[in-house]
Amino acid sequence: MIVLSYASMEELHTLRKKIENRMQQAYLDENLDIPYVDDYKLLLLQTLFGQANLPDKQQTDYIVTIMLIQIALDTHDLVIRKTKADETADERVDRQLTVLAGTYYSALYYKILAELEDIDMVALLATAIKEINEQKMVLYYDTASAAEFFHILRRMESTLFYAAASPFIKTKELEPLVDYFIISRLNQEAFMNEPTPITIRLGIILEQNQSTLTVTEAINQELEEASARLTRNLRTMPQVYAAAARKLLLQGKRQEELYLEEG
Amino acid sequence: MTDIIRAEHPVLEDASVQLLRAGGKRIRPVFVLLSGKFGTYELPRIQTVAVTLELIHMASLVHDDVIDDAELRRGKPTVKAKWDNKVAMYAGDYIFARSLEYLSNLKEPRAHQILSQTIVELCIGEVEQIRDKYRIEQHVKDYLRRIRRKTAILIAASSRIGAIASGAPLAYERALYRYGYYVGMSYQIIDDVLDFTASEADLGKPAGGDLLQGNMTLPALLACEDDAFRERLMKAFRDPEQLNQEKLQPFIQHIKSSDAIERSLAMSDRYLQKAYQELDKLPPTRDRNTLKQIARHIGKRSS
Repeated sequence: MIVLSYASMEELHTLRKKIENRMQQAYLDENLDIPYVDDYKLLLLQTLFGQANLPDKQQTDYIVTIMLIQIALDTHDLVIRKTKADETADERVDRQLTVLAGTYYSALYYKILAELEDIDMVALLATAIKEINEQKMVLYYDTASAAEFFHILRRMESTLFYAAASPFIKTKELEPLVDYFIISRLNQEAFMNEPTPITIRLGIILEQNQSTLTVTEAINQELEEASARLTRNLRTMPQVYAAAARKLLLQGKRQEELYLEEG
Repeated sequence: MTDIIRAEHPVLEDASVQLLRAGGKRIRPVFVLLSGKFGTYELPRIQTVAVTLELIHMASLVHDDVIDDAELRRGKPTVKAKWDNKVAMYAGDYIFARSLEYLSNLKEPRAHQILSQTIVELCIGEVEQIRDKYRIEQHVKDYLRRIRRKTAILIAASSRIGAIASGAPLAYERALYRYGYYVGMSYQIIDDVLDFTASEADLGKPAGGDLLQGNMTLPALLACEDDAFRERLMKAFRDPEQLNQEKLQPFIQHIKSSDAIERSLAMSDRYLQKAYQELDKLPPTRDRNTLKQIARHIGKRSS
């Protein structure tokens, strides 16, 4: 659960509703699970565009667009590597609709920005999507160690945000924030009850390396390290982003504990 | 196009060009290029649109092969068959993103609005196709609405965006859009007929694939006007997992020998006639003639 004031909670709730409304498609909704919307990514986007002096509608459209891209990318990750020979009719429909849902969400991103006549943002985000797919190939096919895996995951999870931020703030100023995204992602992974593409791939890597760690242990270890790095970096990033990062770090932690770690 | 979809990751690069190498009819870029001739023809601008439209079509095919679990396309292994579903998903997404990045060189918001709306509708069309699978009780109108979204509107958008990119007069732009739409409808109906009548060698995949997938195309829908045939097909569709090529042969044979093929072709021809009428609204140039010849060729094609 995100640690926020009532007003901020309301705003996030409204944004989340807008994303869900945009994604609505009767047959997809009937047959697929509701996609996960990462509140912490939402919070960071709200912080970014809130600082950018943009009209309210444009802010909201940008946030919805970027979240749709994230959901589209995550949805396509759910497509299984090999279609099962004994696939049932329900599994087949699930696979087919998962492909289409991802493409549909991605098409919506283009539609929103085209309606805004913001062709430069279309290009900027398309470049990010391209890079993320390159990174996905490395993540799922080339990574040989857990360290390498988490390194690519960190880059992959932050690519979209940095691309979206680049017209509004010097990306260098946001570099200390890089661990925010992997923490948010790994928290999400830890929350899932079933294996995910991330945990499956990590499991394979750990097995190949004859690691003594379980997937959960490896994720917790990375979460600790990334949280420590982000905590150290809090003072070097702009205040509003540090405030958002604190909210993320506060998950499951007492506030004074965090202040002690920050020194 | 190969240069445009060049990727850093070697597998992503190979996967992205796999379908490109397999060839294709390239009808969308042809419509863009010809439509561009009805305004101020600036090759780099028109070329940008033509390449983008073909790449978007290609990206959708790479994903379609995951949806259909297809091993072959145009006689060559699909991306998902050569690598796996995930590589196909990433390659499709990569090509789609690259095409949008490339098209962003065209600063014509209206072109982007039309294309983005088209892609959204295309997705909905595909979702509806899955929803309507193995559903015998559907109307020809359902089928037409489906192919409108699945095929016709992307061809229509190709013609229209070609016209927009060249600054063609609005009346021409509209005529070209409708021409593309009618040709697209005719094209898909013929595609659906050929799925029953063409040889495996011509199709590059086994014949009767649509019926095997539970897709009720026009010939199948028209054949279902025969109550006995409809009952038999309904019974077969009750257990799709038991269906195979061999079990479907009697149904395919029935459709081929009924008047469903002829009636489907007649409907395709009605769309072509409408396409010709739209061309009459354009100036009598060599390009208009070429568009007419293309429509005629589509009406007669056998593969």
